[in-house]
Parts: sequence; C-alpha cells; structure tokens
Amino acid sequence: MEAAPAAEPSSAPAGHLLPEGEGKERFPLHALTQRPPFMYHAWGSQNAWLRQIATRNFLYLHPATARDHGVADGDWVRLDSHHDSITVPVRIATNMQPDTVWTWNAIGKRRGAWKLSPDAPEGTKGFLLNPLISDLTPRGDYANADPVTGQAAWFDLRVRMAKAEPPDESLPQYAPLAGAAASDQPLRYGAAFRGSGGSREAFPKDFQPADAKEGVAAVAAPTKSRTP
Amino acid sequence: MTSLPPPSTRKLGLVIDLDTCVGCHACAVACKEWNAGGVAGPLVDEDPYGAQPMGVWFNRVHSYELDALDDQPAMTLHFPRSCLHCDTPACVTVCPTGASYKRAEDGIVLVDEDKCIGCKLCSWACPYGAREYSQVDGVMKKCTLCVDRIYNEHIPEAQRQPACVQACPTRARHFGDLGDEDSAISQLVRERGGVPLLPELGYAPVNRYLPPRARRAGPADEATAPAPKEEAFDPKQLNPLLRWLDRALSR
Repeated sequence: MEAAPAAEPSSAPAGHLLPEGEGKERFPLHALTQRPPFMYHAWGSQNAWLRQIATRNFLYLHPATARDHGVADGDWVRLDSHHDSITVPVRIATNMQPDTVWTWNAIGKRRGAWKLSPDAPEGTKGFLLNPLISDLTPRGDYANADPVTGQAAWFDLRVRMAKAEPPDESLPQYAPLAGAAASDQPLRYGAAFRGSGGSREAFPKDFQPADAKEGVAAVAAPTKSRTP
Repeated sequence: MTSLPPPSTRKLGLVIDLDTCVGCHACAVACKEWNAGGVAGPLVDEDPYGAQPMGVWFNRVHSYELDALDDQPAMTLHFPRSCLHCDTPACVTVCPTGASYKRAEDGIVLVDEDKCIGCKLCSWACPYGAREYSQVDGVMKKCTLCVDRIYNEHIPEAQRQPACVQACPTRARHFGDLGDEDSAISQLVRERGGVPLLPELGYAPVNRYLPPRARRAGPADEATAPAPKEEAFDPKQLNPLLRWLDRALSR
C-alpha cells in the first residue's frame, strides 16, 4: 500500500507511533472492539432477527478501572484518542483486564441506516469506536492498518477516559440518512406455509418414531377429539 | 386440565455443554429459521425495525459475567435456554383445553395450536421460561425438539437432528434418548457430571447441562508483570533457506 505524505514533520523518532510521551501517559487504556459472534450469521449485521439479540452496546470496564475514574455502572464516559472523542454508556464487568475497555462493534448505527426507525437504539444509544481510529498513523505517513493483511488497526487503539454528563444520545451524532423507515408491521415469515385453513392437522401425526406410528397417537394426545 | 401420558421409556432431549458454548446464538438463529418455515411457524416479530423489537424464539441464549471465586478467575458463562421436555411438565397439566400435551412415544412436549385459546397458563406454570406467546397469532408456541426434522424422511438421515444441534459450531449441543442409559448422550452426561435444571421443583426435566470445567487463574500481577524476555535467537544456527527467509522478513 502506498504511503501517504506526512501532514507535517514530526518530532517523533523513527516509527509510526505517537511522539515520545504522548502514548501510554496520555492514553493509558487499550480500547478493543469486536464484532459480536451473533452478527456473523449475516454480515449485513442488522436484520429483524439479529437486532433482537442486541439493539445497543455498552463500553465495558473492569471495576478497578471504573473506581479509578469515579465511574459507576450505567454512567456515561467520554473516551479520547489521539484522533477524536466519543461519549458513550458504561457497564462494569469483572471478566476483563483492568487496563482495557471494550465494546461490541457493528451494533451502533447512523440514524436512518438499515431503514431503522429514528428512535431505534442502534442510532440513539449504540456507538462504534470508529471515530477514535484514524485512517493514517498518528504521524500521517502510513495507513493505520496491518502492513501484511491490510486489516484496520482495531487493536492498536489507546484512549483516555473521563466521566461525562449523560447526553440524550451517544456522541458523536451525524445527520440521519435520508429515506423512510421500514414498515412497523409485524413480520410473519413462514405464515404462507400454513395453508388457507391454518390447520396444524399434520403436526402431531406425521412425525413419529418409526416403531410408534401405529396406535400411539391417541395416547399421545388424550384429549384430542378433532376429526381428520 | 390435561392429563399426562403413561411414562415413556424413550425420553428425547438435549444435552448442552456450558463449557464449550461461546454464546454465538447460532442455535437460536438456526432454530428460528427452521421453525419459522416449519410446522410451528410463523414465529412473529413485532416492531421489527423500531425501538423495541420483540419476537418469538424457541431458543434464547443468556450471557452471564461470573465474579472471581476462590481460585477461579472471573469468566463469562453463556447459557442457552429452551424447553427441557420435562417428564412431568406443569405446562401440560395446567392446560385447560388439551392443547398442550406430552407425547407418549418420545416425551416431546408440544402445543396443538388448533386447541390453544391463548390463556397463557402454561407460560405461568413453566419455571424455565420456555413458553413463547405469539401476541399476533394469539397462540402459545414452544420448542418442538424439531419434531418435523428428527423423523422427517424427506431430509437426509444425518440431518434428522434439531436445527440447534446441527448449527452449533462448537458442538456444544447434543441430541438423543436420555431414557436409554446406553445412548451416547446418556454416557456423555455420566462422564461430564451433567445436571438437570432446578430438579427440586419436581417437574423432572429431561434435558441436561454439562457444567463448565474449572479455569486456571494466571498470576495475580499478570497484567502488570514485565513481558517475558525474548527468546535467544541466533539466525546463524538456521539452515540457509530459513536464514534467507529471516533476512527477507527482517528488512
């Protein structure tokens, strides 16, 4: 991949990292984001079923990290990287490292995306770490990506965190995408297979163990009185 | 109220391995896909693109954070929940119309939707939350153990298993006859110390859960400890091809 021209000369020594003193001290926490396994079932990530599993995400913190920052479960925090900042809701979890914060990727959405309604939690409360991650390395000389695979440097992100007044919505917010929301009518996938009468006649009778097809059905459903 | 059939020797059910479940929801999604189009469909989704989407799922996965305890490090536990096909299910005996019933031939608990009046007594009676009411259709739904797959002669024999079992990428779900002591899943339950859920309630659930195995904690200072010293590496010891490769990659 081609190196982009440096924005301006840097005082940093060789390498593509932040200038000396601007790394660990200014941004003491690692920030990770990971696509939820349940979103891999469809790379489109937001369909009517998968979004029922999670419509919003939280930033997860170790209790010690939360204590150090004066943050409680349900609070909001502002995360700053060298590139930008986001303001997001927090949950506390012991099953992680104290020096790391993490969240699900792929749930937060710009309003109007995927034809979700304007009040869909993906747009109002969901968020991504993307705004914190620059396209180029902090020195501006290389793409901020793995040199071999080209994969974006999701796991190289460092941040600092401070408690924030809870905003109405996660920040930043962008102008909603144009276009009407999808219909809010219930989805009835599979209804067409029921047939006109909607009968379940075949349900208990067709599917029996091979040695039980004769004579057991009446025992199976003792109160059954329906005629075929 | 609906009576139960005489006890069956065949008790079809699931064994779910909490040690290997990674919480990916593949079981839940595959279940919904099969059953929406199967004999138990539709599985209605309300407010599908709005603020509170809510649908019928026969299988749901709950993820819990477990605090550290003694020498066990904190961990995540994923718990898939579906009908346990109890031997003496309260959801059946409470049914006023006979819609909810237990099959004598294999122990599967089913709902005859033609008889269901949507009174929801069964969902109150079930302590496992396995019942799924469809507000739109006005009937109760539930896991069928994929009764329309496991005996379905129109699909290849290897696929005659519940959709959730087929879908699981970590093979954390097993299907079989828990009434047969020699069946593969009965043996698995014995080997791994499988447990029923809330047996003290007296409904004799058939499904079993395999508990997670003990995790080892790392050293207390793992996160802050200095990184291990780099291995001593002398490229001169390598054969010429690897030496060339090391030179090429080190540039």
